[in-house]
Amino acid sequence: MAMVNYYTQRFPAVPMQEFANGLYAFNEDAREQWLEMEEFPLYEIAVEDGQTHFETSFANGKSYADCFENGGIGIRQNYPYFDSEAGGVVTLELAINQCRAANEEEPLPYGTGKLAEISAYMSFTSRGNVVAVKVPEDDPAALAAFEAGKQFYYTRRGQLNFSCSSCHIQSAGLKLRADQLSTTLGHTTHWPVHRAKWAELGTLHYRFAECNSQVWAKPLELQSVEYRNLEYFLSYISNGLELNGPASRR
Amino acid sequence: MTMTTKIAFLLLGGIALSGCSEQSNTDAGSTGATATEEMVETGQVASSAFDDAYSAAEAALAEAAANRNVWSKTENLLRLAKAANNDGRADEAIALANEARLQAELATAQMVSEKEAWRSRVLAE
Repeated sequence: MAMVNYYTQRFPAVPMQEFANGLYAFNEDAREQWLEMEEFPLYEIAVEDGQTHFETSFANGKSYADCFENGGIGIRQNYPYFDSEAGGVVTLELAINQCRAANEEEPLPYGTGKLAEISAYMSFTSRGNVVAVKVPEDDPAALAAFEAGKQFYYTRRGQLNFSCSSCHIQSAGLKLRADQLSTTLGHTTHWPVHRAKWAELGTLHYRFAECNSQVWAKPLELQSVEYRNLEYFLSYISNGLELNGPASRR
Repeated sequence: MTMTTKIAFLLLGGIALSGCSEQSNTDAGSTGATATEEMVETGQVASSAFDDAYSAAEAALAEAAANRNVWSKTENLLRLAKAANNDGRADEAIALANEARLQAELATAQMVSEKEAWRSRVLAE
């Protein structure tokens, strides 16, 4: 894949799996701080809370385990996937709320809070599993969703006129204020994330919205078609990497 | 001069002065409008100009929203425009509305341009 080749040539000293750690793969000082955060990671509380939510039955007596293959344990590597019947990309977070809807429960907000905690627990049970996102070549709608995600990634938007690629391809490894910009390879493996900046756990789409805000574009809705297609594209790029979420970030 | 005579002169003077004032108001405008009526008319013109600017900005914003690319400062500019207009700062209100319209138009132009331009950035296989 062209993007994978681009990063391995640009950062020849970074082992492939290390790309899943973002800028901590090539910034020694930041990596030291990150490893300290990981000694007593704040997402651990979220994982515990997430497990409690996950294992608590709905009012009808069913639970999240009834909605997912393998009871929802160790399955994150298969998400997102393209639902040919529904005609759209299904992310793990969307599937959690779909499960709630199927059991007549109110949907949860997609950015932070309870749903992010459930996602964190499911990510934690999937650690070490290899990303295996499928884009079936015989499904034109799936290919179209993938291409739409790719287009979103490369499209300039907002008053500052940046695309995702402006920072994460052209400027990957370069400084943006106090941080180095991470590579797209490995971007989706470690979510949800406890960001020190947020002082809480947030989902990947929560970060998408923040990125759009940072280029002075009004964020789209979390789990909108555009963001789900973008996640589909980004996750496919990281196929072959091991999941390592949830994670700490600053 | 007796008190009665003094009062009569005051009354006559007041009548004369009020006549002068009406005379000057009549001379002020060709329509014959009073100063108050002129202020109302000017205010209505300003209000109409703001309404036009605001409507144009709203329409441009709707188009940007339909293209799923609204710049993050635009909606607040519209809110500020409305607040300025409500405060009677008509020129400022119109300028803010025009700025919002310009941002929304640029956002739409950006998406039109990017419809094909994005391809030039894709890493070649």
